[in-house]
Amino acid sequence: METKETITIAKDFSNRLGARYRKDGPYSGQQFLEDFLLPAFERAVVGGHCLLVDLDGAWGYPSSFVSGSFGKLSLEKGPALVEKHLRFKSDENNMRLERVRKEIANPKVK
Amino acid sequence: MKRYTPKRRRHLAGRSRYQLKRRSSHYVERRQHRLEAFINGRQAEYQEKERKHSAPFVEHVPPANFSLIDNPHEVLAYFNRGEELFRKKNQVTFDIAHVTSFTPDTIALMVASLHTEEYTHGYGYRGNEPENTELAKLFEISGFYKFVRSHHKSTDSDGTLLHKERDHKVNPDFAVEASLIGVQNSFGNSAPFEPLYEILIECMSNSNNHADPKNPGSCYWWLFVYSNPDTRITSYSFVDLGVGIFGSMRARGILQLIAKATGLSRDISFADDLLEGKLHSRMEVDRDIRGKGIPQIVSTAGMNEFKRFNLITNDVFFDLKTGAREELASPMAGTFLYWELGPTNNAEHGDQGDDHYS
Repeated sequence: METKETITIAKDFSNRLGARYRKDGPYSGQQFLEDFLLPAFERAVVGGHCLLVDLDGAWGYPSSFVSGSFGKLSLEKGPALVEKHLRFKSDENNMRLERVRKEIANPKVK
Repeated sequence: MKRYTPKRRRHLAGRSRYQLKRRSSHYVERRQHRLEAFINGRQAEYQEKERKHSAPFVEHVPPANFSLIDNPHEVLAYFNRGEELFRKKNQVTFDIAHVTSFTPDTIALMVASLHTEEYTHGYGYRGNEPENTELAKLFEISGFYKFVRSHHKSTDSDGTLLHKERDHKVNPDFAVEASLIGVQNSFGNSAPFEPLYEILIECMSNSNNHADPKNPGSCYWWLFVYSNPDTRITSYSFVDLGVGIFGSMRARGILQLIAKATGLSRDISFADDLLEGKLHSRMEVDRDIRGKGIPQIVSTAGMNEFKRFNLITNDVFFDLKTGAREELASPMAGTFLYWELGPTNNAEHGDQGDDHYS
């Protein structure tokens, strides 16, 4: 599937990621999900293409941010659909990729 | 004669009714009663303030080893006894002149406690510095004096940061600022060290959401960062005086009574569940996907860059490096996380750290 859109989190959103909810403070997972990830994801599903998310350049990926954005998206749309339309990139750190993919595959706490 | 419009007539009739009501004996009586209650309330408030201000001072001397992390039993007993003195309507003199050991973690707990109304109950306090010059210097550069009324001037230091979160929020900018102090002192660079940043955000998030389950986002948290340029160790003390992690997860009502009767209410029996993220707070929203913050902290604690990692919450003291835990006779009112960042043999600290997430 062709990749037609890219979100570079550090540039398009922030390199200082926050916690889970908007009420927690700035740059939360919920803010990223609702303002960036979900609209772009829905465009990708409708258009039948892939969305690339570039994870590089951030100070870190707190688990509450990852869970509140990628985990919540997977919970709402289903892991299969999310895995089909989302691609990830990180040249700096492979573990980030693994953590985000793990969150999507299994968003619920064991 | 002036003619009024119907709208004006309605307005004047309404005004007239209102003026009549204000002159009624019932209304006058109620107004008088309200006024008296207001004056009495103000007087009572003033008298209470005066009474607290003139309460006797009681000397409160800490253990010689005044280090929360190295001597948690005695230090927590000392702080709890301090709260008891305030509760018993005393003002307290914290006489720390003769301590032989005094660490940044204790300063963080001290400033957080003295700034919490539930701890001081509105009574006054005073204190002194350690006689040991090294310990006195630590006290001075900590920023403690910025948070209490004192004739001492706080000495600023680039490697020290004492912060009270005033907006009850997770503060990413502050997490970056605190991270930079650590990486510059311990690693000699300014590159992001992801595990450190992530721990700071998780700590803030946990305090923000769970420290006061009845009013999430209403509990203050404190962070004290202290870097020692000689050892290149940077210590982080994060404290909130909320209900504590176990406290935020405890059952209430009949379930609590059953737990007590069956002996299942001891916090230490749930220590493993807590570290594995199997315990959940009473928050109902997104229950399915919550609970990953503490396991992330536990996983990170094992990294070589973290020389020490302790968690104190309610009546359990954890060493997250070894997994050891201890039951405390004097509980901690809230949650305290302490860690030390230090140099490793690897120049690229980030690469080594990543292994611990797998």
